[in-house]
Amino acid sequence: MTQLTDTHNNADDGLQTLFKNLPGMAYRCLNLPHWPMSFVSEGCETLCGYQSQELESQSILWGDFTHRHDVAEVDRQVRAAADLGQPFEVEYRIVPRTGPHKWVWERGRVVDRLKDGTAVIEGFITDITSLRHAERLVGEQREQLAHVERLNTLGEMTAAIAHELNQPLTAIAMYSTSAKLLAQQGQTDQLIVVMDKLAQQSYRAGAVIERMQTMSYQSSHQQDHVNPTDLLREIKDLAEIEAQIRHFTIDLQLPQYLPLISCDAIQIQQVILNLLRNGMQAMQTSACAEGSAIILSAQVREDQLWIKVTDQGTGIEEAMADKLFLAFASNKHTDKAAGMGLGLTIGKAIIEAHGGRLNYRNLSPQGAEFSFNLGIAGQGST
Amino acid sequence: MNQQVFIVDDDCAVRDSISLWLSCHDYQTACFEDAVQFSQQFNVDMRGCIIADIRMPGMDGFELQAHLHNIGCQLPLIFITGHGTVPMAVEAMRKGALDYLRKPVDEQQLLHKVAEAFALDQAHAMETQKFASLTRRERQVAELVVEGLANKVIAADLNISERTVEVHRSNVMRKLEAKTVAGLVKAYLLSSHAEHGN
Repeated sequence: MTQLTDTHNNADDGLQTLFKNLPGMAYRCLNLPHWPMSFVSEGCETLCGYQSQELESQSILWGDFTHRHDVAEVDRQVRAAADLGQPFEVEYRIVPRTGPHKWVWERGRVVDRLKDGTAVIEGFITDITSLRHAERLVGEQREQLAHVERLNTLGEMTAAIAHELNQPLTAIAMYSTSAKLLAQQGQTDQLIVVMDKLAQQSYRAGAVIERMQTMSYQSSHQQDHVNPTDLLREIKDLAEIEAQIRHFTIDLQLPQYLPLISCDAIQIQQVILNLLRNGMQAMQTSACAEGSAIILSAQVREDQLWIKVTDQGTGIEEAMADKLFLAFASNKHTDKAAGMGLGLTIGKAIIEAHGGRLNYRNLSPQGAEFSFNLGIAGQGST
Repeated sequence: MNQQVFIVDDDCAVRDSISLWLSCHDYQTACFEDAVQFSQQFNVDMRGCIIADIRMPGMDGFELQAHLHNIGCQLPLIFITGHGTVPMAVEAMRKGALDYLRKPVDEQQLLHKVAEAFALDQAHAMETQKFASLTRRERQVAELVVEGLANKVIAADLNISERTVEVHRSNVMRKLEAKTVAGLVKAYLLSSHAEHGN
């Protein structure tokens, strides 16, 4: 008997040591509002600043210091998992007794049920604040780099944009001086027609500037629910400025309906613009006929939106294939507008930060196809 | 045939507005949306000048210039472009363009250039007319004088008397309005160039 207790005590001691060394807090609670705890391990105080007795005596509940913006969502996810009897993983903020809020990661599962059906949950919570900070920093730096690259792209497109602006400006100059003469000569009828044309040309110039502006903005670094049809049409319009100068066309192939996607629209447009410009450069290098089309298409497959850019250029040389996504690797050395060779590297980072993958393959007999996937809004993890 | 401004630009608004501006100054204009369309409708009797964009789909401005040169078109050519570079301008001028204007084009400058082009075209036409008034024999004599041959040699070459050569030579000088041999050479080159072009 004594021996048994000893063994038990030893096991208990071992468990206590184990809990002590955990980088976080193990717990048992009831799946009731604010999750009353019946057991918390020692890591509790380091994590939230409250002592385990305070939580176990339920003088304070876990939900009392869960961040007020997150508590409802955590409750929803835990409840959903508990109803299905599945384990859950959640990330949310808590407000410790002292100091700024912390990000925590929690994993738990239902281990038992009370007679009234209330789920008993056991799990583990750990501090991921520094990880979150690092992720945010990486995200911010990625966006800064992406912004520089966007401005660089605009710089490279200057000639095309200048051309596109100079056309309406030429017309405006000619129409307006003509209008003055017509007014002096009292030719009102013709004057009115010219005034309308003047207005049309100034709208035309305005539209060019509007197309560019998207690319010059600093991204809010936020994922929004975006209509992919609008996103693709907008970026096609911008890329078309350059397509016109190279005498190529952009063929936008979209199904009737596309579901909303969750993404940072500016960054995704940047990736597509980069792919379209790369494709056009490849087509020019391989002397594609005037009027050749580069295809921009989108389709939904397996709960993902797949966006594809297909060119008719020479394809990717085998030697380039391995370092295609590395910074400063460029097979466009013949093209003066080659830029820094950062486009694809940033593109890959942006797509991966969105949880997708950027792929390419060479087509037979010629051309290359770049594609990537994005999650459809409101599906999978939120 | 009356002098006309032939406007070749793929941008509808640019064509239309330039045409309007020149019409306001009593120029006759004709618009073409690309170089191929213009070169198909071109004929040697056309007088005036051409205003052409450089970057156009199909045949670009430089290709048009080369094509017109080959088919003997003498019409002065004014290039207008939205994104010209210095080397492009140099190339255009070297190949004989009258000028190279950047969009947005200064409307007064365009008027001056068109006036200049019309004067040049007029001069071409007059030289051509003068040259056309020479007889076959006079042309032969003029050609040999330009080559720098003495009257005696020309006479032997054409198997005519030296006195006859002198008469033909003075007729040529009179018809081409040249006072010296140098003036004759200049007039001959200008007009025969135009003539041979045709």
